Amino acid sequence: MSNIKVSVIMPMYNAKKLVSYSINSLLAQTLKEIEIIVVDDKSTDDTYAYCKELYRDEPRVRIVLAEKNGGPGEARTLGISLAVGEYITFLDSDDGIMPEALECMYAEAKKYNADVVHTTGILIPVAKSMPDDLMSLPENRLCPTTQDKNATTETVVLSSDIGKRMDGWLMHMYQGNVWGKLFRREFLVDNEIVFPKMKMMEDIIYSLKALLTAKTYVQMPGNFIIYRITNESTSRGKRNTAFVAKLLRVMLQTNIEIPKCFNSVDYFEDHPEYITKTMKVLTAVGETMYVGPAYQKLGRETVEQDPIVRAVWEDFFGLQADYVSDLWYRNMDRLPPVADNLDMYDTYEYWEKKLEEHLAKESE
Amino acid sequence: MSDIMVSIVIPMYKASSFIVECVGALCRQTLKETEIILVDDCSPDDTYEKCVNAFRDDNRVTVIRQEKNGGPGKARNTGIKRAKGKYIAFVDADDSYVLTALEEMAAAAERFNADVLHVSGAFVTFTKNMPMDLTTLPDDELIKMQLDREVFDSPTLITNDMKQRLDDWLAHFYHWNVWSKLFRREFLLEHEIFFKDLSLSEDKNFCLNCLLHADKYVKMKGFYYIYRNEIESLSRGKVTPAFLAKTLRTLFRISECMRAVLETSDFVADNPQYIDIVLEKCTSSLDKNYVTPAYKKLGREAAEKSAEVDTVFRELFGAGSAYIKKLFFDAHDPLPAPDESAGDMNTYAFWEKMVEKYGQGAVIEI
Repeated sequence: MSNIKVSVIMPMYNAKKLVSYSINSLLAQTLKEIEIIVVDDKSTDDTYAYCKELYRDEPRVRIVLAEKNGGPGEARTLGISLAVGEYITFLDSDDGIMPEALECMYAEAKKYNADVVHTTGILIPVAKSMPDDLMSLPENRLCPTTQDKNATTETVVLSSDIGKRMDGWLMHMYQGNVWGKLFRREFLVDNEIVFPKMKMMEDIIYSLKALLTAKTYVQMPGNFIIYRITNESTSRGKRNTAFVAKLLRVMLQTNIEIPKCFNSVDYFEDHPEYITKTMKVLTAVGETMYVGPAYQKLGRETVEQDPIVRAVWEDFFGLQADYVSDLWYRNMDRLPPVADNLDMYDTYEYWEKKLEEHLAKESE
Repeated sequence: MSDIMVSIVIPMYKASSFIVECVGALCRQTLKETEIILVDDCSPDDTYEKCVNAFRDDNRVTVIRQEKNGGPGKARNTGIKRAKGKYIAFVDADDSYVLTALEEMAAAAERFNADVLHVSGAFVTFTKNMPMDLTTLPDDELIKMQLDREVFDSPTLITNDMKQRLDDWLAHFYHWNVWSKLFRREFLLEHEIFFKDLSLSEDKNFCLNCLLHADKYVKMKGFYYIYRNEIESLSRGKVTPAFLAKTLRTLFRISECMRAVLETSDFVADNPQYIDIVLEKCTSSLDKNYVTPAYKKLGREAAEKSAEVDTVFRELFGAGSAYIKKLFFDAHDPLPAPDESAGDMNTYAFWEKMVEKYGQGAVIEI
């Protein structure tokens, strides 16, 4: 039997510039019984060879190569299949993790014999010039932010009532990222919790499935992951038809994956209304925050005539593509003007202000 | 070779109260070389037994029972396969023909050896005392309905130019009913023209199929078929979730069924742009004339709760159906409610207004 307590899975793609800092933040964990499985998602540069060489003599780091570029979900699935640890966690290749993180989370996991340990927040690095090594920032440049609504201030075991868990999820009380969580490996295997084959949102669906399946789901306060922001509003120019097509595909896939995710949970046989409610939350986010601003900027005609967008409708609906897409366009045309503030959370200015507020509160 | 000139195929569903009189009237047609094929679509009442008993000794009448309920299209297909006549006519169980109808229609068809004989008009009943036997109605209780845009004074062989035919079809020159027409039986069999599995628009699909394949398509003016009107509207305010489900199922199947027909045409193969035009026309007309009114009358709440409606979406869109259902509701909610003042063509009140407007005895174009 292996003595590895936590296997950390890290997908990477063309990540040469930053990945070593991320891996080093894991090697610096106070919890030593860990393995780090880094999955190269067929980078087009020499990321794989670079990491292989860099960690040649580090027995806790394993670098593997995916057979094809399938997105972070598929890369993580490959990583999980190779993992031997008692618990699984994830980290992205451009983020960092505080040294005591895994030790704290693992301790809670053991204390409650948890299937899942879920931390409530993250740290946003606030620096005019973002360093490659996030760990080099002093603590007063890290802005703690709680992602869960009404987050708990002490460790709690969630009610086993699935309805209550769902109600909380619908109220955004349990964020869907897969990092900042520990998953008991056998729990994942026994319950066949796998990443759906999607390029986005796969983490939200994965986490939701775990929330609905876990016998013991522990939520603990904690801000351990340092989440890198781009420091600039880069995506505005990317609000093109390709962006709409990508988001549309994700939304339509989500609509197929969510019911699948619910089907395996007995509770929903008697409570099918949750499927509709979940869909409403996810599509409202997709339509208003992501697709909406791009759609309104481009206009219906441009979107409708774009061959990539058309291909998405045809992939999903075949002969019904014209009719179903027309329903969607009609609804999008009725959406009131929506602000394009997705990028706001990626800007230094926004977080500098948040950090000042936080530091002021602390000194009081 | 059989000496039957016309096989009259009648699909029946819960037709117990009037079917015997209906068949009786058809037996009095001046054309005697006919057979009547009654196909009971698995009615839960005694329609089948009543017909079997009533026509036991009449060798012109054949009574068949479908093993399970499949809609009028499937029942008519059964009839086509059993028919022996040179031509086939379709009659709905509560309707009728004027007594000389089949004689005159068959004569016109024979003159051209027509594949399809298309009559551009029909009668609709206009009476407050609806008889069982519609052939007994006096002239002033029947209204002449003009169904097509284009009318010829004498029977005319129409063009074989398929582009012209399709363009004219799109412009409503060829009404889609199956009851004001004769179809040469061997023409249908040769081109494997049958009714598709649709609950609405199956007649439109069938007629377009004929138009695309008929070498000799003959149009004539005239009023022969008698369409039974309701004295009061039965449907208004009484839309059920099952009816909405039926309109939706048709809406989602119509493209596939129309495409299947279009793809049998060499002309369409060379001019594929017609596929999109025809599909869009069929879909939008179904949505506008059937689905939207049914949805608006039923209301979102009832539609959302209905298991039958849910099944339609689920069958077609599988796991992701809930989102498509929501898209459908959201897109239809802002549409205006159907215009009740325009009237329901199946009511006395509607035709009363039309007669006032056009005068007694006038031909009313619809």
